[in-house]
Amino acid sequence: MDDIDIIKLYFDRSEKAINKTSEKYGRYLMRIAENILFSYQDSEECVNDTYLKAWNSIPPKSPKSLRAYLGRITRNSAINLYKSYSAEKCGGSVADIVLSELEACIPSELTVEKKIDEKFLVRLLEEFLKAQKETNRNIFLRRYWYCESVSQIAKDFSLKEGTVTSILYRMRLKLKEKLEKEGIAV
Amino acid sequence: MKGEDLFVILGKIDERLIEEAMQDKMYSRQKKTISWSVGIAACICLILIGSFVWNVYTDNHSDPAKLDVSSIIFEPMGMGYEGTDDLSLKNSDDINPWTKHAKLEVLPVYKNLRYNKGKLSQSYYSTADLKNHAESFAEFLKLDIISGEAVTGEEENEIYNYILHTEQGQVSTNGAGISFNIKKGYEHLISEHTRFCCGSQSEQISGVYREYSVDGELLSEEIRFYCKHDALSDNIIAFNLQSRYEVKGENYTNSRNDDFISSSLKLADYPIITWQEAQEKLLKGEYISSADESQVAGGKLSEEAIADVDLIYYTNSNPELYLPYYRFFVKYNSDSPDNMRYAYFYVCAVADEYLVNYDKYDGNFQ
Repeated sequence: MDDIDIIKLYFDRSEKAINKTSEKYGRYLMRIAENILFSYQDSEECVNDTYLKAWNSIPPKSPKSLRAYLGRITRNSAINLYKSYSAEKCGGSVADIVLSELEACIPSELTVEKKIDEKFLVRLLEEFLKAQKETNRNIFLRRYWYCESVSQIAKDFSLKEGTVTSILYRMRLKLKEKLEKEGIAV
Repeated sequence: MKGEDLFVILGKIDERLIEEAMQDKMYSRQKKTISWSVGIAACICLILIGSFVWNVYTDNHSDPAKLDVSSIIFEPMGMGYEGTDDLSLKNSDDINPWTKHAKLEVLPVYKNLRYNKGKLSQSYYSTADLKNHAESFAEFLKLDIISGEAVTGEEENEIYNYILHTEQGQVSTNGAGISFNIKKGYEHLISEHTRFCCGSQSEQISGVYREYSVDGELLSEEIRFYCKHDALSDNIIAFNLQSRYEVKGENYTNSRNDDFISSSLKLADYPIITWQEAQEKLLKGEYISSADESQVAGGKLSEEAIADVDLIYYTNSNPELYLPYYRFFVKYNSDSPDNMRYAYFYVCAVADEYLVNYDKYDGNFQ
């Protein structure tokens, strides 16, 4: 079923909307949540939460990309759950490694508590990503948005794991330079 | 700022970039196939078709997750346990589509979105949604609306019902069906309620249910309906989770349709055990019941004490999950020898490997 038809079901307040969403995107959303949480049960909770939030927000919202819209909700729910467990977590999820890698992108002057202009930072990240080669950009997002493992990315892009690691390393350095250059602290 | 903050902010970037990152995955795979020779490509086509079928299969048939059933409570009825008696059985119709000959390998399990951890079941929907639903019903039946009101609690978003007062009677909905109290003279609207539930083409199955007191006094009489489907599993769901009921009162007739499906989420289809396997479990003491096993006729559970079995979805007490159970009618000691009583003993129909915290009662309900 096309996204437009699924969104129409939400607008019609038909319970089929959730079934169809689950059929089409359930596995995709589980993958996002599992990459972050490393737990099937918690991921399932996040995905169910995504369906409820989609049901409550569409309408009035009418997402241009249902996949990205749902993915974003799942990612946010998973991050919140991850944060709530962070005190007692034992590690092991890709998210643990991803976060430490991202930490390395942050200029030292920003590691102290400072108010960040979030919108400006989002725009900066978008500029940075759009300036990259398409494949590199997508590898970066697969790692830092979707939290995918290096081996999975390597497999999907038909690259060696070392090549993916190297691309990601160079991109993190470039991002750090960009953040330092722009002096985003306000 | 920490890595976690950057990770969160990254989540807010343009959706098109997020979408593209996944599309690239498909593109990179397509590129690989183009360079292959035609002969190999033909073979690869078969593999791709195979893998496509596999992907579709795995997308729609992911392994069912384990079900935590610890919160489901089996309430005793007025007589101290849940059960029935000969008089009620003999004077009622059995319209349950499940029979002992039914061949079923899986049945769906639903998550109840109105579950409220043992508290009153609130509506899953907003007041506006409930109002819309009640008004759609009124419009369908061409009712003349007088006024409407939401039944809410003291806390914010504590919504129970929406009630619509009409010339023809009172409509009430909690998002899991509609109850319509029809004033005398407007009974013809009952068929419209059926049409609202089943559509004009669908055939209905109906039967009368009668319940008697210990003294043999008729306590209640209601007609139960469900919309007929082609597949047995669909009929089982319609019977258990989407039935309509009619009860005649002095000044009104109540026509109510339960629709648990509209406030629930299908989790997956789960493998189920057979009734014979369930009976073995029952005889080994692996059951759930609000009855006391020592009161079973003959002093203990045995094949002779089992009068009958059916399969139902347990919906009492607003459970967290709607699960299928085999319900055994077990002969129970009674003060009225002329009216044999039967206690209900349940065995979950979902295979054990999918159940977590499946505690079996020892015959004493707390």
